[in-house]
Amino acid sequence: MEINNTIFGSRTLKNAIAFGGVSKLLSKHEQKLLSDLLEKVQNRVQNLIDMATKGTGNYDRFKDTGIINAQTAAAH
Amino acid sequence: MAARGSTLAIDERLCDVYYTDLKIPFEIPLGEQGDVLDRLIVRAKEYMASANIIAACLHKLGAFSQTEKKTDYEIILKDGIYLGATEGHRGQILQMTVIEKGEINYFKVKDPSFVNRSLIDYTVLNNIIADFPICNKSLDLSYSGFDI
Repeated sequence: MEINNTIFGSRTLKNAIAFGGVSKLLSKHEQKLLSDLLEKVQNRVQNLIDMATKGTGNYDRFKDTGIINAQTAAAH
Repeated sequence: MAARGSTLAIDERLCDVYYTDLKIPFEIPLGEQGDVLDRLIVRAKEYMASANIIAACLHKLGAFSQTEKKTDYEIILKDGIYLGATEGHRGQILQMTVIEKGEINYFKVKDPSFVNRSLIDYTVLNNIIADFPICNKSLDLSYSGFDI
């Protein structure tokens, strides 16, 4: 949503979606901005993965909790 | 997303002709046993995969960035019942539109949360009550999606 707002001026892509695509062409500057923002958020997501897998507190809480096996998932 | 956390490689994009026309490969992250950790990791890896898709699209977009924006559309509504399926960030979104006499008479959306909601019953089994919030939130349900 942060990226949507920066590039299209609307968190929910209001007026950005059109029949057959989008209503706006991205300039070179906006394309670069989008690439930079994606990279920034990718770093934050990687931090989240590290927090979940490398910290014992979070790992112990999440691991083996709330298991949905494949058969149950497929049935729904 | 809940299904992929439980090792099921279900993704609407695999049979989406518009997406496959783009010829951009994408990864479908899968969990190992379907626990909260798996769903969190799958969600995070899906973000990474989406970012890679956008980056690939931007690369392709470079060749078209000088084209004129098309603003004149002719929209013709033909009578009938139409179904559409899209892979949203929670899973498969189905939409049905009924057009009668050239007008939209009925529109229905089935949100993935509609079916994923019932999985909460299984996530809480054999867990303490304090685990309910993380079990619930790990499914990333849209509450408004239940009644759409």
